[in-house]
Amino acid sequence: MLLIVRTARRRYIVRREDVATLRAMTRSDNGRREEADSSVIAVELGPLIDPDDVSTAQRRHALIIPLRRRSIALLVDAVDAIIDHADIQPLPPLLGELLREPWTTGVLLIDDQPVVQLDVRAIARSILLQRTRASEQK
Amino acid sequence: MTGAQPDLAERTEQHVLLFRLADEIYALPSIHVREVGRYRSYTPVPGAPPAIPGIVSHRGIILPVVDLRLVLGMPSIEATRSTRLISVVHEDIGMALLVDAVIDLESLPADAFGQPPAGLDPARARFLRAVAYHNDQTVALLDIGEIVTALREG
Repeated sequence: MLLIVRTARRRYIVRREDVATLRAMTRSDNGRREEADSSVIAVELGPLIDPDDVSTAQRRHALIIPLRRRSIALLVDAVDAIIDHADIQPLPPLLGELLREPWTTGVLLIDDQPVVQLDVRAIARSILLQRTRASEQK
Repeated sequence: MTGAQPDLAERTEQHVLLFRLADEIYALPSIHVREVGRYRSYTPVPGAPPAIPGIVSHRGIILPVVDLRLVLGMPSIEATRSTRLISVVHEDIGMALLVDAVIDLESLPADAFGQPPAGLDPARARFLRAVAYHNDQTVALLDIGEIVTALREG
């Protein structure tokens, strides 16, 4: 099962099984929740991948990805659809071997437009690693 | 598609697709060219190298978009009305090459081609198989295999 999620400028495919919980929230909810529960790190998905992909929408949808000790909440503008089955294609060979981060696992064509499938667990691990390094340097 | 092609010197004519990057004319052997299409926005892929800024679907096949300007050491530019995507294949690797404009398919006499000038920037010279003069302009014949090699080197 797959989710089609939307940021300000892009759509992405996410495996449903990688997401423990889907939660609707507002930006102010997010600030309060981080204060109350420091085990959840909330990160906007759009600018994490493309610095220009910044949303101004107040309403957010959180994809909660649990890791061993902490959870990562990836925030998106919307979850557009949940689809049972889709023909995910691998990335073209030349590109698949050159990615800086292993965040992309395939591509789905929707109306002949490629939509990238993200490995949100890999993204969550990268975020946690980055936060851990940042706090160690303080 | 295989790499077994007759050497330039063994041919009487070289069939090429001529295209433009900035004010320079380049040529690709037409044997590699599948199709030329108008520019359409591509889907960026997280973590992809700058020279491969995204992917497009070409008749249901996903192709990496290769910004030839960046490969050849030129600055990237915004797409214009003349921007084109040239769909090419080299040893089973498909790509959509982003170029400023496509000029035409031409058959150039093989003896029009010579060695690239020695004074060229080595970073760019590695991509040139030969240079020809056509309609009072210099045409640089690209080595698509070398482009693939350079992309893999990152």
